[in-house]
Amino acid sequence: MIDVGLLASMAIVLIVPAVFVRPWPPSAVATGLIDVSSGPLLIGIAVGRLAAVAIDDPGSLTSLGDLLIIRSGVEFWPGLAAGLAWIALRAHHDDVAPVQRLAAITAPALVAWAAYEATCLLRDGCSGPLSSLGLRPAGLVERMFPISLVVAAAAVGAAAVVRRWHRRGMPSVQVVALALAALATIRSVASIWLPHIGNGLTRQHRSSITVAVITATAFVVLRLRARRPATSVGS
Amino acid sequence: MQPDPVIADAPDPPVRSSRRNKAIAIVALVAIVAYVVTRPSTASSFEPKGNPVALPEAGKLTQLSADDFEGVLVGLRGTPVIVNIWASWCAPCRTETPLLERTWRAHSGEVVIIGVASKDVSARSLAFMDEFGVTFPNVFDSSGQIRARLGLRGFPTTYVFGADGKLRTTIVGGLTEQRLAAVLLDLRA
Repeated sequence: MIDVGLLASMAIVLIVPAVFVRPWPPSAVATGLIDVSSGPLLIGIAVGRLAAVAIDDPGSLTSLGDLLIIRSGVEFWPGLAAGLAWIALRAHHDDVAPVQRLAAITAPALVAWAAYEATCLLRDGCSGPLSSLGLRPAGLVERMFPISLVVAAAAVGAAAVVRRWHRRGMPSVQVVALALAALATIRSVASIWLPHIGNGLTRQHRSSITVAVITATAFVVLRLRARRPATSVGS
Repeated sequence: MQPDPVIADAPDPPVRSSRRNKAIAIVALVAIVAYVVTRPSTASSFEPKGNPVALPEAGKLTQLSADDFEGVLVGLRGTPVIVNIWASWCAPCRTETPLLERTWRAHSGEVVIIGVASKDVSARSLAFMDEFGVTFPNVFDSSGQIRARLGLRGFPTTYVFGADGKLRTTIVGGLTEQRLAAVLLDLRA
């Protein structure tokens, strides 16, 4: 069964950043954003799906049919790590510094994620806490505050901040750490209000908090190191 | 803040080509959104009728006719019911069954979950239930009449009935935790 909403979401994820956000610096992505991002998107989904099946139902790892049902769950962070690794490898192959290309696509990537979150409208509808101000997800009676739309707005804001700092000369490695920290923090905060079964934190929520702590710490350490005055020889 | 050593800007692409690409992309976006928004609904108009029948024992696979199945739903009026149609060969069913089991354990006082194994061999259905430690009630649709009456279009499908006994939602395809939790939130409101 073809999931039209999910397919449409994927198309929009590729189209929106490629058309509306240019990588910075452009020299790091000279061949076009769709060329650079479609490979990592596919690799990321494949690895994310493999990770989800390995965790939830390892017996199905040998079943291609089970693996292809991506709607049943994709682990976000392993998928993202695989996509980033693929981008870095391709950059190395193209004689571009991997970290420079990663930094160049941080803003488009955050916008792509924002586009995915906003396309909740095309999938099941956008869920969240019950609210008279919200939208009515497909098939439901009550209105819910659309957390995914807020996440999309936050991701666009984060993209603007990251892009601005990058253009002002922030080193690429800091740009990547900042973007990851922003992404993980937004996901961690949003997960508080997303509906889930039971009382504990979901696996996605726990992993987002972990990544947020690690990447925010990395960003702060990188900033402090960059600000430390260089000691001259012989002084 | 130290800038990267080499940030050489490539020349911008020709403005006319860029504008044309943007126009094509905007048309594509509008077409995608329009198609998805106007696609036909998967909602079913099923409404259970008949005499009340007792809910089959939890954790067992009970063979029921379509009439008796409707009777079970009639007998459960006053409590929200989630009916999940599954089969042991169905890939998304493997992902959503643990989710349904977790929901059953966490919310068994608020909602009843009934699995309907259909288009399957009963021994395989039982093995599937054993594999996932299913403890919610399940019925075996040997004739396929239950799925026909519900208007099933694909495996798995989940039908959500409100406390008034009326069908509120039909979810075709695999359930995600967020979607199922949203359905529960909607039922409890």
